[in-house]
Amino acid sequence: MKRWTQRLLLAALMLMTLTGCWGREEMNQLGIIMGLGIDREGEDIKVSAQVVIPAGVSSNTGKISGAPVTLYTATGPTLFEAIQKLTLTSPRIIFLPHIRVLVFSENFAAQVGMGDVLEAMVRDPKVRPDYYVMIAKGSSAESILNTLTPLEKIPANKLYNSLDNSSKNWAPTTIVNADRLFEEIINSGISPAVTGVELKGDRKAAALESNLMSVKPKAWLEYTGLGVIKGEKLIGWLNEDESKGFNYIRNNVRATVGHVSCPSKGKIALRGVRTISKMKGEVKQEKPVIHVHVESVSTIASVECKEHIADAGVISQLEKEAEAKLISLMKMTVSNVIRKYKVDIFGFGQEINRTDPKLWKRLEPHWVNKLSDLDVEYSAKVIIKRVGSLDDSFQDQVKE
Amino acid sequence: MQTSSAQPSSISYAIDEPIVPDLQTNLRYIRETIGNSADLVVKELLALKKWPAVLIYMSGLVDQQILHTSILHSLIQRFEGDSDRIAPENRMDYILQDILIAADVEKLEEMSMLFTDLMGGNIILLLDECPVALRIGAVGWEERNITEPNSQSVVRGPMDGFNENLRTNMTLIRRRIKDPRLWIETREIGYISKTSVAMVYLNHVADDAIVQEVRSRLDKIDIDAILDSGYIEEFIQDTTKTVFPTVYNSERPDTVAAALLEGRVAILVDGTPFALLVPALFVHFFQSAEDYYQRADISTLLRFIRYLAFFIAMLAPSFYIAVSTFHQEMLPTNLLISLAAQREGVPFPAFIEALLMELTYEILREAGVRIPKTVGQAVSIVGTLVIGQAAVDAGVVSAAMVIIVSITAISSYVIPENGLSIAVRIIRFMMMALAATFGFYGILIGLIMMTIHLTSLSSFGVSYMSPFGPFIAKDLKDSLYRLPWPYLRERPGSNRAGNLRRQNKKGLLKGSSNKRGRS
Repeated sequence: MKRWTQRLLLAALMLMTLTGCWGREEMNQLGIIMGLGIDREGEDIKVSAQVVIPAGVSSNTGKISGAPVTLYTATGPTLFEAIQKLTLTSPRIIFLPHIRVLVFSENFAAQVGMGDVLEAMVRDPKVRPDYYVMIAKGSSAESILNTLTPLEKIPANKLYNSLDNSSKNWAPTTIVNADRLFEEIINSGISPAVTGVELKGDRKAAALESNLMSVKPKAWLEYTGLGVIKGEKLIGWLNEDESKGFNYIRNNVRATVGHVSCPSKGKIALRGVRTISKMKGEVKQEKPVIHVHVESVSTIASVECKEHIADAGVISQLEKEAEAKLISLMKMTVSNVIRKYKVDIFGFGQEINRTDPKLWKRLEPHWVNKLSDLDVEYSAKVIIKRVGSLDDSFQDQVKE
Repeated sequence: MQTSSAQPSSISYAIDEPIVPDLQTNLRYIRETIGNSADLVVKELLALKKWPAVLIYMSGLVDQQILHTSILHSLIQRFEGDSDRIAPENRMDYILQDILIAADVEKLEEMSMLFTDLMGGNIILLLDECPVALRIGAVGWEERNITEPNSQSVVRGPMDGFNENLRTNMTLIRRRIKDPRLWIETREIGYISKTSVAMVYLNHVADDAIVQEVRSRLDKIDIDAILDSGYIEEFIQDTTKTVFPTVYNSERPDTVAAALLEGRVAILVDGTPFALLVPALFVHFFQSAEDYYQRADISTLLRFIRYLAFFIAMLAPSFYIAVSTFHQEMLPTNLLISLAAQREGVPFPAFIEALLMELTYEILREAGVRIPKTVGQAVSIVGTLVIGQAAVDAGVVSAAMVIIVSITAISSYVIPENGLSIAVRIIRFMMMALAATFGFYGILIGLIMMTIHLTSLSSFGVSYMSPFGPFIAKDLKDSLYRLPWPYLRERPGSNRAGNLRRQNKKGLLKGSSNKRGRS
């Protein structure tokens, strides 16, 4: 019996030393942070934590008046000091693992840089780095998180889902999660581009419940073009077309809608169903060349002109036009970005590294200066598979 | 049928006396020994109108029809021959051979045997001036009809179940296996109750070593009375230091027959409808009789569901405790918010909450079993209040916990054999404690320890976890899943069945039967 007890004790002792995720917390003791905003306040970091009020969100507990989330702010010299200081105002333990969005203010991203905050966040083992990172364009991060949104009660969730859907269906947007951003910040062959988010409308009404009461919200959150990052700092923004071109080159486009002009007048909208982009590096006479090839399978979404699209010749004509448009879009994007920002957000350097590591070693130190001399060759293949339920447009049959 | 007294009866010294020639002395002795019990019937008569005699029996234990037509009727007829020529000591032989028309008759010389037979439902005939008694078999007491088994019901398949009569139960098996190799060994266990215990097996199909092991373990039992097969089970199981059953019990004759055909040994006990089957392996507890009566594909699906239910019944509350108190980051965000909303205002930690609800359920369950049938509805009414919306509305527990407790409760009934479902209930509480202190890590430790424990068990020398540990590839065909019958050509070897082939007559060892009923 004594031996038995000894063994049991030994086993129990060994169990104690092996525990991994230690720390018992009941669910109703947690302040679940859904969105974290980073602002600059003097030399300090100001964090704004959007914390869910579970009873206000869950539908089966009845409608409780008041906001579904609350915002706590605290200021500290480092991220986690600030986060820990949130407990000064929050009644519950700060629980980060379910964070959906990390918002930097434009100011902070441009002047302080995102590296330190990101480092701290990725270091925390409980937080999965799959939340989206974005930059508040023209406002503080706090005001972004201080906006109530209809339909999706939790604003951070709205930001997450909205970006998720948009990136799948609209070419100019793409998702940037912490993991990827972290990778791209430390990789010398590529600079990151981060989603921008804007608070539009009447800013004063954003945090009020009345914002949810009107059919069109008085203030709303909207994604804008991508922010260009150099090192860890924001240096500028891409417009919609440039964002689109960027996403085509980076293979971020899944489905989207674009248009080509008719030979006469009007436009034909093309719905891209499947888009694949490939980047390939090549070394020609000691000089790197990048090939970018985009393949897109599309269907015709709308026809505003009198072209006989039932005709195979017209279809191939349209395909050629779309290809040309894609190529010019990408060319424009690359030349604009390199001219304006002197930064390689497309990952050309990374591609050269993959093709010829030795050459890359030599090019790396002065890469940004050599960007303007880089040969990039574009090619595109657009296949129009279907024309929809109609063939020729009924436009020419419309009664006068 | 061999009858062997398992051990020297310790009270037999009092009645270990010969039968004396004097009728009244014998009668007085019998009356005294059983304390003038009211159910002793002594019918005095003049056998063949001349010889004073008594018929003794216990009322209610004998068949009145046999008593009247085969015994009384023949005893009271007028003696045709010259009675005075027959010496008093030969009179019993004369009655035995020429007069009685009953079939099961035997001479007794010892009082001890007389008592045993008397209590066993036989009629005893005593003659004056004659030092022997006659035992006339006329057992016939009231018994329950053969009804559908309560504890193991099926949708498709035989609907008869064992009852409390050993002979009826043996008949039910014999009717299914018409083969001379079906051997039944009977012995009496319990020196007061003298309960008949029958060991049933298919000779040459069951492993001789196992049969011998069962025999010797039964012989070792030393107890005053056996009232149910549960007594035997605890005596013969390999170890008592486990919550897992290592003896299977069933009240279905078809299940027993099927087990016999697989080479297992059945132990039937008089007075209970529950037969024991050994060796019993872990996989057996997930097999329902119905698995073999319906199509193999659905049987397989149902078995998967049972294994799933086994894990749900064992782990659902602990899993919930672990996730909700240690690993909130593993839940989908929306689920976490929804669960957290339900927990708003709940005063207890998840572990206490779960313990509270599980205990409440166990109490309700126990009450449901014990409560008199006439007030049985009370349990269901109160039950829905205690484990239900009312408890949630009262703010004592969260709605999710009610769901967890309910799914746990329902899942534990999916396991076809009650023994394993009890084991799961016990383990569930241990797992909950582990989950509350260590989270998933604790559950994992618990599962590892359980696996180690399970593999260390054996039932009558057969590893409890076979065919998985040790791995027996051949036996997998009827374990987690079941292949259709045409593929089940061999008996499971993990029972060490002597004769492995099931579907080839040539494969049979000695024996005459060609037709083999597949269970």
